[in-house]
Amino acid sequence: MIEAPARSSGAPAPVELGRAPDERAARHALRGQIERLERDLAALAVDAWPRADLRWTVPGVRRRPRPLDLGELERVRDALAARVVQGRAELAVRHEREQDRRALVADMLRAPERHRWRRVSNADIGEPGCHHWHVVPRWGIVGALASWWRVKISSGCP
Amino acid sequence: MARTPQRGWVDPDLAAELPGLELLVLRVPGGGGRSPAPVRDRLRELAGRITGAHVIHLRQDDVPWAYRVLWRHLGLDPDSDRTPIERLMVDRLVRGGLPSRGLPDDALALATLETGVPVLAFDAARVGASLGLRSARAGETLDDGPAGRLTRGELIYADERPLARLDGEVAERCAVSAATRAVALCALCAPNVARVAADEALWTAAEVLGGAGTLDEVGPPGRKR
Repeated sequence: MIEAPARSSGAPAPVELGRAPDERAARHALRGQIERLERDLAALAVDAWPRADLRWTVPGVRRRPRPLDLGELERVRDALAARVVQGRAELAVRHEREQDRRALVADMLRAPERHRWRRVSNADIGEPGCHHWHVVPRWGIVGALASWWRVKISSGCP
Repeated sequence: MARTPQRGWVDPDLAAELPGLELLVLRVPGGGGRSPAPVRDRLRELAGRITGAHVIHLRQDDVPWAYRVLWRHLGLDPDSDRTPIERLMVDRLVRGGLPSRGLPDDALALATLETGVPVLAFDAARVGASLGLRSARAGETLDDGPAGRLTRGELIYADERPLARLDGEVAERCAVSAATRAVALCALCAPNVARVAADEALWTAAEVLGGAGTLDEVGPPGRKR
């Protein structure tokens, strides 16, 4: 009598390629979805630059590369889809906030006395670089007492 | 030596699972050693063209994107286990340049950076006539020791035996050394990558490895240095 080899760990059984032709079409369809989602995620990551605090990683399901079974492909697809949806939402919130900050900068430049001591950085408006707009009084205490305010734009990174 | 890249074999089950996955092989004269000055200059010039913006946009380019997709299809996260082109590009940013690592590594890096297609090199005398891609079998190893143990089902480069991992780790017994006289270059062609890109990667590596006078011997007809 031939004994079936015992599985030594709780790891999922490796996919038996060619043994499940009925699933092959489903796996192919899932790979197509993963392709499109990876394209979407790549576009989002590029759109999000330079917002370095946004993360675009989607954990892999394997430590070593191998063809995935249907369940694993579904997990990858679902994780990618969730990341794309979450990324779009995060980016939309950021865009809205940055739009507000841009409007604030415009108003600071128009009427600095209404925004005393306010400071807006490039990161706040989603731009690369590290300069910022800062509303400060002219001539120090004299300007503050006389309400002579101006926007000081820093020259950039130290 | 073959004048044009030859198609390697792909395990039929793997080919059915990942249609379009190919391995192209080109055997050329060459070996290991210090890179000549023109190669080091070329690396330096190439490093000067790689900027942060370039790396950010890389994932949207067709060829690098195709390898990101392949990595996903194989269960890896390309932002953690980087694809070869992205690994080289990020290394360039982190190190501030592309330091020469000698041949064949510089040739492979140039080929990959210029085309996006990963290329590996083996000592042609130490590998079989027919190279291909397949899944590792239970108990197979790349090298002696626990680090060389392959996971069952893992995608590998192979002849009759495993030759290299997909991430580019080559078995010591077939790695290119100073004693190598001919090199088997292998380009991994992901689905959705045009064959011409893989051919170009191999010719680029062959040109760098072969040096003056060799390109005409190994390159495609009509191609001149």
